Amino acid sequence: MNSPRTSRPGSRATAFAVLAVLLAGSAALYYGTSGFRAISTESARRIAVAERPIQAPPARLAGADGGATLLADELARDGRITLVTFIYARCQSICRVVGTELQQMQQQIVARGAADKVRLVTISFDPRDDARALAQYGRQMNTDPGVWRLYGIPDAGERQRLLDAFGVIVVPAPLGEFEHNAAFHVMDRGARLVRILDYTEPDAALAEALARAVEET
Amino acid sequence: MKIDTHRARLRRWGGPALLAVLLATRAPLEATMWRHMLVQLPLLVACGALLRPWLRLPPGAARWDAQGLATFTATAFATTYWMIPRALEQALDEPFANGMKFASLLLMGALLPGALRRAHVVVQLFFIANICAMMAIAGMLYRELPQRLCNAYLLDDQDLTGSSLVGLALALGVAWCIVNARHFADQPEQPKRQITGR
Repeated sequence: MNSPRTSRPGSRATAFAVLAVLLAGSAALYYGTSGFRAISTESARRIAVAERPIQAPPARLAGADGGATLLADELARDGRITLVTFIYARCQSICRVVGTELQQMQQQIVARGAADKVRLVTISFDPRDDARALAQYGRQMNTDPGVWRLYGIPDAGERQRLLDAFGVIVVPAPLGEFEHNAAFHVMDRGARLVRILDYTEPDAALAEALARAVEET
Repeated sequence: MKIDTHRARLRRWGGPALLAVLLATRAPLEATMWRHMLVQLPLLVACGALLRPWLRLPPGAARWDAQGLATFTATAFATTYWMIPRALEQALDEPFANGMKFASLLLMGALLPGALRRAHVVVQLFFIANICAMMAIAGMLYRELPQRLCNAYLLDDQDLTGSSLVGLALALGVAWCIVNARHFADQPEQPKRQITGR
């Protein structure tokens, strides 16, 4: 149709328009994929945290033993690097996998003699998980309180603000279950979320936490 | 006479009515990935096309869109962009992203009919084939990946969306072929010189 020699009146204008569309489209794709690095929200969240750590908002934790502390106080007082995971106690799907992994991590931490550097904290996002439910979950998982502690956040607003700040999204699923973006959240003693690692990579998460612990001491 | 005015009114008000419905049903349509991507987004494009009686393009605007090239390029980008799971999810929690979603797809729908009219069948085929191939591949990815691509949507929903994207890609391709079937039939040679003698 268009032979290259017969340049029509609209061809230059169209070339400009196409060029403008190409630039705008590429810019949009760059923005939407965090610089062509992420197509899912979860990978974008992990990249963002690795580049800019997130300070945890104030949240009061209620432990399986019934005691209550502020998350920031708890992390500062303890002084170890903490691997935080989010669960709900009656979970039958991913949290079961994470639970088993956490059990193995607990053993690893003790076996490597790293219990003075790294520890595990599991926070339930299910308001139904009171001290009793958490204690029962702890018994199932054989938690060693020196290495692995379980908490709930009784205040709904505080709970949601913490989940929002960390980008943890909980979606109700059929049969009373929840789906959520399960992961290991590496937190330092300044209550900052510094790294997020996939729940399928417990070894990498442990290695990362140990490296941080060495770095910070 | 009466039927004609009725039809004219329908043509004029169909677009705004559909837009109102889409704005009012945002929450239920965006509650699942399938409804978001395969109901709301295509309806936004259709709505853009229906809104054309309200949009008057300046005369000579077609000069910037010879063969519909600019519109088709924009369409390829827009369809790609809104099939990125993160982009779709950003539209859920960021009003700006949702505004851009509405604006880009409405504009795309408004421009496409004119662009299709101007474009040679080969140009159309190039873009349609590209967009359909991309949509099918995106759909297969959605189905194959074991992890969730959107934190706000369930994995089953993602599977269904993937299958539907593959289906939509096939349907679009077939629909285009049916509409353009006449171009594929062997045509007797016609003396063209008289028509295009310039």
